[in-house]
Amino acid sequence: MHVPFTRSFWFAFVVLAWTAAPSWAQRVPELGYVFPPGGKAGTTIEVRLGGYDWTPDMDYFSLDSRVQLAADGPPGPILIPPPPYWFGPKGRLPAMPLPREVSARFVIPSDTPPGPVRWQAANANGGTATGVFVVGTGLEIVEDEQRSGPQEITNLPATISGRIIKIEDIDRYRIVAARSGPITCELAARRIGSSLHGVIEVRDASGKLAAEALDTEGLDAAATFFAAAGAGYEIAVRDLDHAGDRSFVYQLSVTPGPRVLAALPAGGRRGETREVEFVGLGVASGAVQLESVKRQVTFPSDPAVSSMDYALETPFGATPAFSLLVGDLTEIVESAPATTGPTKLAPPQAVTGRLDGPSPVDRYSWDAKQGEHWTIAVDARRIGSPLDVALSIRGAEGKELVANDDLAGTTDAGLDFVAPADGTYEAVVSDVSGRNQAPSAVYRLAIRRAAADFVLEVPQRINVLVGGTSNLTVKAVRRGGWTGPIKLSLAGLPAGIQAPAELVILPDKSELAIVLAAAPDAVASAALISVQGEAQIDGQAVTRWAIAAAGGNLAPRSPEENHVAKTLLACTMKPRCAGRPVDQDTVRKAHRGATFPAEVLVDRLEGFEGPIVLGMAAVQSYQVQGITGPEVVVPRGITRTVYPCFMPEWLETIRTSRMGVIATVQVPDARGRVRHLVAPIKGFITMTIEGALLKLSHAESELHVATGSSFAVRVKLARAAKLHEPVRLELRVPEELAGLLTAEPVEIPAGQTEADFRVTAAADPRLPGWRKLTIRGTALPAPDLPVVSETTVEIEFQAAATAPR
Amino acid sequence: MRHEMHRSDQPCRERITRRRMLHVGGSGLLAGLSLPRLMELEALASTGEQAKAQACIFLFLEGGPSTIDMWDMKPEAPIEIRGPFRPIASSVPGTFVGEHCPLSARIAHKFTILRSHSHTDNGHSTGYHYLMTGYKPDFADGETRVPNNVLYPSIGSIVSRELGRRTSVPPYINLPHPMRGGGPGFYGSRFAPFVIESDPVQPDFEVKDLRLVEGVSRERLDRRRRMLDAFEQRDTGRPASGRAEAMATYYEKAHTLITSPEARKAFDIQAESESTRARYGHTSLGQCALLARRLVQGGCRFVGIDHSGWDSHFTIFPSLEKDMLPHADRAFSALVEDLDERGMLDSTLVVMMGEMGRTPRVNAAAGRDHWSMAQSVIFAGGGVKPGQVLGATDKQAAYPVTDPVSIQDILRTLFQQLGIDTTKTYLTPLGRPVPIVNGGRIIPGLV
Repeated sequence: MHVPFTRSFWFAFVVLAWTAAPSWAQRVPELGYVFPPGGKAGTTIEVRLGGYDWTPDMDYFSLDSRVQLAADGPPGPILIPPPPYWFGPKGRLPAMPLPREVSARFVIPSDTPPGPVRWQAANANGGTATGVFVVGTGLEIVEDEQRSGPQEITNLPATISGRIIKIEDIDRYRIVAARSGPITCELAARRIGSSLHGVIEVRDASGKLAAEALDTEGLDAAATFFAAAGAGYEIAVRDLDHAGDRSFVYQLSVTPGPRVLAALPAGGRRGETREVEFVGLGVASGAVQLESVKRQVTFPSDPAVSSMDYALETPFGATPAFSLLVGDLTEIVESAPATTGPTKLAPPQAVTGRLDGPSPVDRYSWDAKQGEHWTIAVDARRIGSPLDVALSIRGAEGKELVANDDLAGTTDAGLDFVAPADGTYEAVVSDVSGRNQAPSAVYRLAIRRAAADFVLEVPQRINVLVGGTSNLTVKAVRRGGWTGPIKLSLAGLPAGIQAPAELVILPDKSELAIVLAAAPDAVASAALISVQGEAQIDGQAVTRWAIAAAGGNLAPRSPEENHVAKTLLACTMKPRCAGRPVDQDTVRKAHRGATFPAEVLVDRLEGFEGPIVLGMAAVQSYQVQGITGPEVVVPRGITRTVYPCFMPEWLETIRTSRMGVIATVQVPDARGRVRHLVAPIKGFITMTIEGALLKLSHAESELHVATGSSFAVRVKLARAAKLHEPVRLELRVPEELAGLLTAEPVEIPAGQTEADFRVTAAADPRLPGWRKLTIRGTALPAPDLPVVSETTVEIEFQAAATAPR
Repeated sequence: MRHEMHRSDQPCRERITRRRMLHVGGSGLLAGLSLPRLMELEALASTGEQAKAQACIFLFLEGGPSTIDMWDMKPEAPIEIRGPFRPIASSVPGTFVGEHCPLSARIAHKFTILRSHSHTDNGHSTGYHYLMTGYKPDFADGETRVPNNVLYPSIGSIVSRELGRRTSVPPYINLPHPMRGGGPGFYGSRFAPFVIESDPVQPDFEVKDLRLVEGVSRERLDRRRRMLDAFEQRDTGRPASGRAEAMATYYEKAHTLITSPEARKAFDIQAESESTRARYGHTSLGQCALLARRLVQGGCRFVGIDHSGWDSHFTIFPSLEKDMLPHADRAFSALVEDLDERGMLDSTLVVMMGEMGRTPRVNAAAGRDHWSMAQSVIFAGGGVKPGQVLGATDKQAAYPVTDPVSIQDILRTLFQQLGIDTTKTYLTPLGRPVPIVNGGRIIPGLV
C-alpha cells in the first residue's frame, strides 16, 4: 500500500506529539526547522533554528558527535506569518504552528561525510523530535530573501538553500547554461522535514516552459531539461498548494548533467567490479529522453558500508549522485521473462528486475529445508523506483504461506520465513502502484538465510519528571531462530537519573521496560543516551546498539534513513500553573481591527506564587490570518486577568476565529538554573467577527511625489458610534524604506473625520519608483485594547530633477 | 391540486401526475422546445390567493440557537436541563420567555412562537441546506462550498423567481455575507442573491457596486452598455448559456444597480438617525436587520441575514448572556417594532430561526450540542396571527408533544404568505421535476 506522507500527517504528528504530553499537562516543545537547512563540510554555518513553544532556556543537541551545534542566545518572540492570508474554505485549514527563532551555528569538520545530521532541543518541559541539517560537499548558496527579482546563480553545480517563506511565495533563480545538454534540478524538502510539496518550473528566456515537476506524493520533485549553451533559464520553486511559511525550507540542487532513475542491478557485492546498466534521462545522448548506458562500477569492500553514492560520468556532465546498494549477496539482473514457471534462484542471492510483462507479477523459486529461517526482502522505494511492491511466499502446490505488502515505515515489502518442509518455494513479487510499465520501475528481491542475530528498538525521546519515574521500553527482535537472553546497558545517563543495575531481556520475553528514576533533587537537564545489548550467539559475544526511529525525513527511501542510535532524555519539572479562559471555547463577538479582552483564569500549582506570563501558543486553530496576542504578565497573587486578542480588520465575518494561549513561569532547578515551565491554557478563546469600529481610507489612489520633498495624504476616518476616542495616525513603511520616508504621528480628535498626514521623502537614490506606504490609525478605547485600521497608499517617487512641477 | 397534510419530512410524490408529466414533456418535444425552455414551463396550478406579505426578512441564527434558553423555557426541569437562565413574563399573559430576551418579551403580542419545529438533520452545512431548500443534501456535513445548494434553489431564489423585481433593488439579498444554503441551485445565476460582502455595522459601510467608477459618467456607462448589448446580439438566434449567460446576468444586475437612485438609497444605512441605529443595536445582526428594513422598503422581496456564532458546545451560557441573546433580542424586537410603526409589519414576514436547536441537557463542557428534534421558530408580520404560542415540547424541550412542524411546513407557509403558488414544479436541465416545496402543509393556526 502506498501511503505518502502528507501535510495532514504533519499536523497529526504535531497534534499527537502535544496530546501525548503527560497528565500534568506540560507543553512539550517541538522542533520546527533550520534555515539554511544545509552547509558545506569544513565550514561553520550560521543558521536560524525555529521551534514551537520554545523557552529561553532551551538546550540544543547534535546527534552526530563530529558536528557541533550551539545557539547564540535565547529564542526571539513568536513569529506571526505576514500577509497574504487564505480566506474562505482554505481559511479554515489548520494553522501551521507559530515558531520562535534563535541564531545558532553548526560547526562541520571537513571530514564530515555528506548527508543528514540530526539535531534536537529540550527544556524543562521535555525534548523535541529530531530535525535534519544536511552536510554537503559542493557549492552551497543561500537564498537572498530580500531580493526583488530572480537570484542569479553563476556557478553550477550548486545547492541552493531556500524557503517558501509565506503563502503564494515563489522563489526564482536564474542560471545561464555553460554548454548545451541536460540540466537536472532536484528538490529536497520532504527529506529534510519540510512541509513543502514542491513544484519546479523551468522557463527559458522567452517564458516558454522547459520542464516542470510537481511533488504530489510528498516524495520531493525533480526535473531535467535540455539547455542551450549560453541561454538563460529561470527556475521557479513554489508549493503545490501555494502554501508557505518559515518552516517551508528546501534545498534545490542544480546540476548540469543527466539524471539517473534506475540501476540494474540495483547493487553490488562488496569489493567487486562489475557492469551496471544505468537508466535515466539523457544519460546516453544528452537529449531529455529515457535511455540507458552501461558502466563498470567498483563497489567498496568496507563491511560497514551498505550503500554508495555514484555520480555517472557522461559527455554531458556528471549526474547527481545515485544510490547503489552494497552487500554480500550475489547480484543478478532478471533475465527475459520465462514463458512458464518461476525463475530459479540460488540464494543467498539478489535479483533486480522489472514488472514489465502483461501481468505485473514476477515469480522466483528456491529450495529450502524444513526449519530453515529465511529473510526475504523486495525493495523498490529503497532503490528509487516508483513501484509499490508486495511479496508473497507460496508452497509446493501454489498455496500462499505468508505475505507482506508494507514493512513498517516504508512501502517496500519483506518478511522472515521458516520453511515448513523440505521443498521448493516461490517468492511472488507484485506491484500495487500501477506504474510497472515505467522503464525506471525496477525492484530488487533478496533471499538469504536468516542469521542468528537480534535488533533492539527504543523510543527516540523520553521525559522523566524530577522526583518521578518513566519507563524506557527496549524491544528485542530476535532473528534466525535464536532465542537467547540479551543483556542491556545504558550510556550517557545524566546525573540524578538512575536505572536498575541488572538489565536483561529474558529468553521468553521480547522487551524490557527499564525504570528510569529521577531523584527529587535531580537537575532538570537533558542528555543523549544510548542503549546497548550484548548476547552470546553461537559462542560469540555480539553487541548491538538499540535503534530509535527519528523524525526529520518525511520521505525516507528506507526506514533505516530515519534510524538513530541515541535517545534524548529530558529531566522535566512539574508545571506550576494551569488555566482556562472564562468563556472557554464559547463564541464571543469581537470587532474587526479591535482588541478583544478575553478573561483568563490561572491556577497556581505546587505553591507557586510568582508571576505568570501568558502568551500565544504555537498551536492555534484555523489559519491565524494575523490574529495576535502579546505577552501578558500576571502578577504575584493574581488569578484572573485579561488576555488581549487583536483581531485584524480583514477577518471574515463568516468564520469562527480562535486564540490558543500558554502560561509560562520561571522556577530554579536543583542547581539554581532558572527553568521556564510551560503549561497550556485549556481550550481556546473563541470569537466570531463583526464589522470594524474604525476604518481609515485615503482620498487619492495614487500620488506622484518628488524625492527630497514632503507631501500630504488626505486621510479619512470613519468611526463607529461607540468609538469616542481620538485616533493616532502613524506611518508604517516596509523594511527597505526605513529612514527614507518619515512622518510625525498625528492625533485626530473625536469628531474629526478627515486630516492631512504629512510625510517627508528623503532625497535618496534608493527611493524613486512605485512604493507603498501604510498609514495606521490607532484608537485606545481602553488601555492595552487598541482599535486599529490601516490604509495603504501607492506613490510614485520621482527623482527631484524629473519630478513634474 | 389539493394540499396534502402529510408529515412533510417526506417528499411530496403526488405533486406532478404521470399524465401531467407526459403533457409537459410531450408539449416540449412536439413544439421542439429545448430543455432550457422546458425549465421555463410554469404554473401547473395556482392558488389564486392574495399575498399577505410583500416581502420576507429571514433572520438565520447560524450554528443553532439554544431556544430552550430563549423561547421554550423549562423552569421545572432539572438544572442540567433548564440551565441558569430564568423565565420572564411577556406582554402576552401566560407566555414566558428567557430573561435575556426582555425587549422581545415586551412585544410578544406582535409575534408568534412556534415551539414544535422538528427535523432529523443534525449537521450544520446539511441542516443549512435542508432548511434553505426543503430538500435533504447529497453531501456529508462539513461541506464548505458557498453556496452548498448546487441543485435545489434556496427560499430566496424561489421568491426571486416567483415574485420578481418590484423596483431596481434586487429581489433577493444576503447580508452580511453569502448564506451557505442560499444559492439559486439549478435556477441559475439570474436568481442568485445579491451579496454585498460588507458588514453594515462598519462605519465605512457602503455598497461599492452602487458607485460609478471615478471618471465614468452615467452617459458613458450607458454607451458602454449599449455596445455590450450590440456585441451580444450579433450572434442572433442563439441564446447565451452557461457562463456567458451568467456573465450577462451579472452585467445586467450591476448596470441596473449602478444606475438606480432607489438602490443607492435603500443601501444607504448612514441615512438613518443615530437613535434608530442604536435602537437596533450597533451589532452586525442589528445593523443587518435595520438595513433589511430599508431594503424591503426599497422593494426587496427576500432578505436573508446570516448571523453566526450560535454553535456553542462549550460554556454556552456566558456567550448567550453577553453577546448572542442581547444582540438577537435587540435586533429582532427593534425590527418588528420599527416595521410596525412604519405600517410595514403586515406586509413583511419576519422569521427567526437556525438550522437546528440545541440539546436540552447541558453537556460536560457546560455547552449544548446539536439538536434538530426541537427548535422554536419566531414568526412576525406578513399575515401571521400574533401573540400566540403554537405547539409544545416535552418536559425537557427535547421532542414536540404536539404535531411536529417540519421544514417543508415552514417553507410552504412562508411561500403562501408571499402569494407564491406552492404547487409549482420546475424541471432541472436534466428534466427532473423539482416542486418548489417538497411537501409540507400550512402550519395550523399560524396564519
